Amino acid sequence: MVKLNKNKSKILSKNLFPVVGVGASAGGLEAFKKMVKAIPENSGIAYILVQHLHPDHNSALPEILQRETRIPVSEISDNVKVEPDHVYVIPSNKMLVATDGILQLSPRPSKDKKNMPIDIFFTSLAEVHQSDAIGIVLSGNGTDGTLGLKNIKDHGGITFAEDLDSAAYDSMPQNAIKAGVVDFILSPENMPKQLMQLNSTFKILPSEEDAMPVKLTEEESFKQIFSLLRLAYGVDFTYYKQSTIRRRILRRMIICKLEKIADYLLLVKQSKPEQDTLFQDILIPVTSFFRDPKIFENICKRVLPELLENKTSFNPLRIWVAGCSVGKEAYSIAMCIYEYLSDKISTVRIQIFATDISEKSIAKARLCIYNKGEMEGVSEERIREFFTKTNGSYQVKKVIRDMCVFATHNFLKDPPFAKIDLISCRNVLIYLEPFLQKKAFTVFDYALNPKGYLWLGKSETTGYSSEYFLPVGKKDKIFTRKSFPGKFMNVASERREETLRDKDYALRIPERKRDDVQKDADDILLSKYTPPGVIVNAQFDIVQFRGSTGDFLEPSPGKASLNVLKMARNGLSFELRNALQKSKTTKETFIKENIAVNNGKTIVAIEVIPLLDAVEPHFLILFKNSSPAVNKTGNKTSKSLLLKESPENTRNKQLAKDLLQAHEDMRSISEEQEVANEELQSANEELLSGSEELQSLNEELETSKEELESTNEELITVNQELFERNEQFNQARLYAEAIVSTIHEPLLVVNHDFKIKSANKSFYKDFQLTEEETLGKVLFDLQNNGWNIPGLRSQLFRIQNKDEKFIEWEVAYNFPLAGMRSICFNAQPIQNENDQNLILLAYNDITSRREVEKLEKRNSDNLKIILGKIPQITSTASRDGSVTYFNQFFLDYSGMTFDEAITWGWEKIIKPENLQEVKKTWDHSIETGEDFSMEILFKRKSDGMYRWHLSRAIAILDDEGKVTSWVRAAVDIHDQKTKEQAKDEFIAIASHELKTPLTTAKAYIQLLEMDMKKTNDKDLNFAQKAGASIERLDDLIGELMDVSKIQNGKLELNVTSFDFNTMISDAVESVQCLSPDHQILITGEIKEPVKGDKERIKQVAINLLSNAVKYSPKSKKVLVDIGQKNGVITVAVKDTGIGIRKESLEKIFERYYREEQRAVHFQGLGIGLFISYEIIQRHSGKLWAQSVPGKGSTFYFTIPVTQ
Amino acid sequence: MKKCILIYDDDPAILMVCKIILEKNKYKVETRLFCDNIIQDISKVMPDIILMDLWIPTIGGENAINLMKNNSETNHIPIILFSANAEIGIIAERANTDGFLKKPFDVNYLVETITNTLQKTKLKISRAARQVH
Repeated sequence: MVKLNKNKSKILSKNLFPVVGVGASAGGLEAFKKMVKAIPENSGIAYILVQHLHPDHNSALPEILQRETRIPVSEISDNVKVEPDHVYVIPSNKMLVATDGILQLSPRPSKDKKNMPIDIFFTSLAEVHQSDAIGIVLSGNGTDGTLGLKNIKDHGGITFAEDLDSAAYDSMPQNAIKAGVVDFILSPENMPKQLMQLNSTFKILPSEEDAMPVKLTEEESFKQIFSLLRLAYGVDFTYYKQSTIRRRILRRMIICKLEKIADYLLLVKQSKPEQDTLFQDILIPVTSFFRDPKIFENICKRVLPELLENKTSFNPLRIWVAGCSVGKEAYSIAMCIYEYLSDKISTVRIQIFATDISEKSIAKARLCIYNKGEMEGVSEERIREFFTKTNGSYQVKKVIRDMCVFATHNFLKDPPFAKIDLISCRNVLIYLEPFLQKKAFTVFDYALNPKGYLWLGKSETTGYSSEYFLPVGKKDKIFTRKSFPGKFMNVASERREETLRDKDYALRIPERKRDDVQKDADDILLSKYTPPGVIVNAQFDIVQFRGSTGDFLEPSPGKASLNVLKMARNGLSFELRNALQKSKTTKETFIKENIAVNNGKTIVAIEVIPLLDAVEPHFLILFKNSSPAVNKTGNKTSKSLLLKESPENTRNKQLAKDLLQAHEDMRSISEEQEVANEELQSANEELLSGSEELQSLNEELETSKEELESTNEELITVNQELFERNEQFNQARLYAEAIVSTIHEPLLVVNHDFKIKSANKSFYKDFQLTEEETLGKVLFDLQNNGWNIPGLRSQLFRIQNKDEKFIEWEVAYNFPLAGMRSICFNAQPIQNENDQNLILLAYNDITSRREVEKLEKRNSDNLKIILGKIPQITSTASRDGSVTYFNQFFLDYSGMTFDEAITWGWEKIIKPENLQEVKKTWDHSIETGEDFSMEILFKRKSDGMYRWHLSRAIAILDDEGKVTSWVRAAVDIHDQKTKEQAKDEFIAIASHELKTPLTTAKAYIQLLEMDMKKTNDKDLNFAQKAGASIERLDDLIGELMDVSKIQNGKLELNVTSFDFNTMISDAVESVQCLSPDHQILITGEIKEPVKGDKERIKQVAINLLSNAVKYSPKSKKVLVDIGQKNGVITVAVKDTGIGIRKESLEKIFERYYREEQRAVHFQGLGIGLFISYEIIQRHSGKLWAQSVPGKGSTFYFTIPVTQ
Repeated sequence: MKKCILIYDDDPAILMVCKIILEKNKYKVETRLFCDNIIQDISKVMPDIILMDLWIPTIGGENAINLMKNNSETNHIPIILFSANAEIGIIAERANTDGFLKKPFDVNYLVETITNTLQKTKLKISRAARQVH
């Protein structure tokens, strides 16, 4: 029970479970018992039984049925909800009808109305449960249930009928089977099994029943596929041309590589995509633009003008394209209309309804984008006019697109459009059985306007429904609607379909065994002794004449009609109408006697018998002649014989005899003629059926043709793809070959016994071999066994035995011609198209690389040794300044280990007072990339002494000029530095000591001079000269001291604010007084006071001026120009002396440098310019010179106005 | 009354020539070869102006000047630094002397410097005296 509940809840949650309606009448209880017995406990289906019962009879059905099954059986009351796994019985006095979509009990109609409870119930069931409804007709008499089953089928439900063998009373199931509304014909006990199978398609999760494989016959499998499709898409393929559809299913099976239809059924059940594909496939979407262009022309020429004659914007032209596929047909028609109307298009409203079952096709049609292949049939002009090209595809322009309305629509099921002027339904009907074709024609007939046109496919005709349509042009397959009143929608089945269906489905309609003799006898009796009569349908049109009815019926004048009321002879018509009406309403036989016909000449009795077995009510009318006409004529003749017995009489007699003879002759002739006629008739019928067969064959062929077309299209596509692949493959092959032949590495392919199959150019070139020497030879035997490379054979064996997939193997080998080579072999197995195992061998000559590597290694070893041994501190640093390497010398000096020293460890041995400045300077270099040069005190481990080192670092730049690393070296300059200090100290002391006596000497000479001046001594001149010499000596000593101070960085500036002009004129004056012969001219003026060391700047000016004077022995003019610009003062001292050679220009500011030329001819220490240069530099200024040898020099210096 | 000049220099020749020049110009001249006892020297000689060599044994001219300047008894006496050193101007400023004289010097300039310095000192003193009163 637990399981049951679970199952139930599952189904309820889906809110979907099949409801089986069972209709039964006489003998039905027995059949239903059998069926109920076979119903499994958890089928998930609800069963509702409708039994023909007397309304007053108190039914004990539930009790009786409950004995047969464990499923609860109950009588339906209003409160009972229909649940799965229950059997319900409808109370005898009630009916089950659908009200607002819910099944409800309603009182049974009064007795006098005809009771068709099964039909009513089935119809309600179909409305409420739609495709979940299942109808079963069991044993019973009458036609009840047939209409109901039809309704269930129309709503997508499934229908069953009891097979005629097992049914106690077979007319109810037989009627249903005849009407073609039954899906399965089974015995009652087999029905539940089938129901279960169907039900499994409803369920998402498979139940235990599904796990048990059920053997299905092929037929059943096909049917199940159809029912699946019906459930999924609402399209019933049962009456589509079976041969076509089965071919399509088989085609899908082949594609899916399934052999059994049952397997395919399983696939379709499980896979929704497969359902989609199958559905699409069955629909065969073959279409093209302007299919059958000639017919299109005719349509344009003949049909359109006529249709458009009275069309206005209020009265639109309506066209229906049924089965439009991807819309090409609809667009083609739209284009035709557009072309026909051209500029008048706006005056008429055009509506083209294009419908198809397939949503996919409709979606594509709506998109209206077609690729180039699909554009076949459209002329260039039309493409230009009606399409826009986008991304290589063609899109239908809006004007055309707007004329068409697309909808998913099944014209066999959905309500049709109305007031249509032209229906195009081409190559759709060929897929349908005549039954559905007929249905289609009724639909089209309904949809079309009077004088509307129907346009069919090449091999389609209105065939069975020619009563509706008249061909306009047979070749064009255009038909007009016949317009005659009183037509009705004929959907009921006819005999012809039955036979066809019997043929196609092999439905098991039991063959009635006939006793031929009995039948013949019946025929004779019928023809000789039955009263003449006719069978008419509900519209009273004569369906069949029986016997001679000439006395009672005659063709009516005017339009030919078979209506019995029109054909009835004078006086009979009225009575017939009455009789028929009465019989129709009462559904009972009606007899009327003593009717005077032909102005009372004949007395006739008529009997109208309703034939209720058929789906359509028919009536049999029997005529009985109550007045014996033979007697009358006999009397007349005897009378005349008695009256006149004359020669005339004799002649008359003779004439009468002749006449009789003639009559006799005529009769026999006319009989013969009739026989012939009958033969012709039957021949005609044969021809007709033959033509029908041909027609169906033709349709079949057309279908096959379309199928072939679609297959062909597929094949073309596949072929094209294959072709493209092939092309690609070829290109790839050529590409690969080109690579192989141009590749630098020698390549070789050997086969299984190491014979060379192919080799590339590089191989021949590198090893100096030719093709003849190589191909087909064993690899190791090449060049007189010169290729027997040790180890290669074993490596190749490993490849061959598939021990290795890839080998990279290096060897140095002395090749016969190529000499000593280092080769890296790459070997890997390859397979050629014949599945031969080959080995691809690539030679990578790495000889030169190896040599370079060796050389590099040696170099780097050497370098390391050099660096290690170099008697200087050497190190490298990374870009950020952290040290990456120290040589052994440093480690020995510092006593640090390598690891301690690198990065920033080395800073520990810098004298702490020194460290900050070192860091600052080093950071500056790292930041700017400028060379680093600094004197640093490093502590020596051995004696703990800080020793001066000149440390320098130079940045290593990459190609872009970025610093990659630093190389640093530090030289121990401690001893030199100490010595220099001593020297400087010495110079300082020496110059001081020299000045002391000089001071005394100068003072005494001055005193002497003063005295001599007073006395006017003649030797005063000497004293003055001595004074000048002492002055000069003083200057020289001063210069020496300055140099020494500059050397020690002890040159200090005494910065004050002073008047530059005065300073310059002072300088000029002091030089002037020493060489009064020269003319020194000052130009320019500095307006603001200048900051700097006045004395030092003056010293510079004097130095430059005295140089100018000194080196201009002949020319006596010296120019001094001072100027100010942008806060910078420029002083130019120009002479016209001997000048300076170009190569000396840069050196003249170096310490102790004396230009050769000058040194020879002029006195001086050669340190004046050096001192000047240093002074100006200390003032953040510049000192430089320009000169033309022999013409003079100009010395410039600049200083900023404020320091 | 003759103004008294106290000259410190380690070179007797210089002392001699200075004495000759300045005595010629009516100054009383006292000379010393060492500067260590500057305070005592001053108290003994009572100079109106001092001429101090920079490099003089044993404590050096600058120290001697400092000693004198830090002594309230002696700090009013004008002092002129007197050296062959090229940076004499800077040193003189540092030592806060009343003037300096670069060796070798011009005879006239020596006299001028001393005369001018004494003149300035006299003005300063009289001004200071006026302010006191």
